[in-house]
Amino acid sequence: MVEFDQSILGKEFVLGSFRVTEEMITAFAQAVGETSPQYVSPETAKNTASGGLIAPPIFYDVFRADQVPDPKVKFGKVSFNAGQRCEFHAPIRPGDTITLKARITDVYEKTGRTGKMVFIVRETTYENQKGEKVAVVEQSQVRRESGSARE
Amino acid sequence: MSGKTVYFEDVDIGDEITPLTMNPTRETIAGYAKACNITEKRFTDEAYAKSLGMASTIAPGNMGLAYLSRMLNDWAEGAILRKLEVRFRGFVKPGDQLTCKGLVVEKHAGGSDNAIECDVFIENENGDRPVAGSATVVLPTRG
Repeated sequence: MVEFDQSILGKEFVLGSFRVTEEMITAFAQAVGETSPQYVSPETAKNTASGGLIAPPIFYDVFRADQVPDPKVKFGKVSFNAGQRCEFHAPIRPGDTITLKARITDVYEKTGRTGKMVFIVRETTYENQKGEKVAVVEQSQVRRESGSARE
Repeated sequence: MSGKTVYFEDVDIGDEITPLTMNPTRETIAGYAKACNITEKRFTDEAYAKSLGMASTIAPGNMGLAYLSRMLNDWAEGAILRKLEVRFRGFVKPGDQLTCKGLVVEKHAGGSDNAIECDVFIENENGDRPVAGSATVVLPTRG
């Protein structure tokens, strides 16, 4: 069994709060070529079903915490994103303050055709200033000895 | 281009989501990294990526999710993405000729009146699918 800090499992960490601006939203939308008015045009967005500018769902990726819970896995030189499960409950809007809370929910090892891999599963909850959960993202990080292949 | 409204009643199992072609370059990947405050060098620094044993720089995994999310909204403007779940089975690299694709596989997803379930994936020019999974999308109704 892979060695890691077992005491961290399930423990919730508040990673910080981030204020969202119109510019952050439009910059993110433009970076993936969005043309939908609700994501790129504060003026036109007022006349869409969203009632104003909203962030595209994957906007949660802009929030970077200085520190994330680390189970200190004693294996692997490289780590990659293996998979992601996102649930979206409400749109993020300009002026929102989003608080990130994260916990490690699982650490397990697996042997694939390129050798041993260790998976770290982290769940991050994104909450707005009203205490509403806007998104929950479960990310699976894989640690391996070499970066030549994903699996 | 942004799409038009797609109503729940007008969608059938087996319907194809309008594909979206994306051609990520070093510049667009750097642009995404900047918008997301990503500082990890494997996405922007070729020599560093190679030192990790990778063939070249790669795109951040979330950039692929953002492409799939865009495909769904371009197809059905204003539809609400409720869930997106993917596995990363390969890398997206600068210069890839990508097509984001999707297929409606279920109506009334999760018991909801007007949600659909779609298989979604990103295919490159070699026919590989570096990103693949499923999406739950809530569509407006005519009623």
